Amino acid sequence: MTGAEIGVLVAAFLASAVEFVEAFTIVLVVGVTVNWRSAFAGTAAAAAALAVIVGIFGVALVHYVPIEALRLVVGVLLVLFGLKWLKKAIMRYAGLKAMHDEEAIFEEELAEMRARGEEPSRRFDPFGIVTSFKSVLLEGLEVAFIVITFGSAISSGNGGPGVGILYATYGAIAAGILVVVVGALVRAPLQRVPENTLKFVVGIMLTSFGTFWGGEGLGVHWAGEDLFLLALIAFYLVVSGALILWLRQFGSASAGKGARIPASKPGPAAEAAAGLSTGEGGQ
Amino acid sequence: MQVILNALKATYNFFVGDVILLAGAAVAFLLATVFLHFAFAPGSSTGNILGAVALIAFIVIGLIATLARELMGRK
Repeated sequence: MTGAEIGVLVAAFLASAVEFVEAFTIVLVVGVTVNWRSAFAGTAAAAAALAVIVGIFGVALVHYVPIEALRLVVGVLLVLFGLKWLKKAIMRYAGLKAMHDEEAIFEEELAEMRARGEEPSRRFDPFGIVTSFKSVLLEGLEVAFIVITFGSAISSGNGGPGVGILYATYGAIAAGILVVVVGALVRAPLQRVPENTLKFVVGIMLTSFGTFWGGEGLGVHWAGEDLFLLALIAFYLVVSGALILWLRQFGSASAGKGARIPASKPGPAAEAAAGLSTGEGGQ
Repeated sequence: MQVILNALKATYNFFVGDVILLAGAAVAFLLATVFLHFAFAPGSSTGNILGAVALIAFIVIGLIATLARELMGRK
């Protein structure tokens, strides 16, 4: 392996890792807050769409897929989804909206669904599928762009065409495997986090990613490039924290009538089922 | 006709569901477009900074506005 090939492999690994982390973050939060079936369905559909797109266009992909327009559309949708989640989570933290009694809702819905002969964990959630799909599709396309552009840089004159793309592909695959393994390790601890905390974090993440991608789609050049995502996450956290503090003074008096305040921390199955059964998956 | 209206309503509720959030996001992206591509020379750093600030600011303003509306509705 030449120095140039090692360079391409490492560069593709690092750049792809960033994209895989972004996609995996969204899939992870959908899996934990909605359900894994929907998260995997969206991911599988995106992978299939990616395979078709890459299969049709090959290395000409970079010329035919309008990645900026795709970033803009996905960004706008993520901002809208994220703000909806964030609004409800802020209201719950501030006491303007009742916390869910997940255990009670879960037991109630479970009994109803069993009476209808349905299995709750097998139900697909459109929000979960769409959110996973578009994130994986966008980031997957970006990985494909990275592999093609990085790989093409050394394809001519170093072992013939395709060698660079081959090493860039190895780098991207290694990054994908690493991100999935790390993600699988953090999945279990995440499922023990309370529902509203998760929804708050999801709202922050979706809004931040949406702002970032939407801005890129419009042509914004973020300072520090992908690192600016961290600044956006921090900014939205601070703003949301300030909003919770501001709204809390009005909250306790007006928390919803008949509100069910959780007596105990719900289990992950209860959270997932409650998210499904109450339609909160898309909220 | 009713089916189409129901489908439109379901689509709106699925993707947005809150007119103030939608308005805030729409203004954010429109203003950012104006700053990035029309008010200043494309690629200028001033346009880039103003576009980014407008984008983030109006997303936050939309969130504050919809929360304020919820608060007003409870008073």
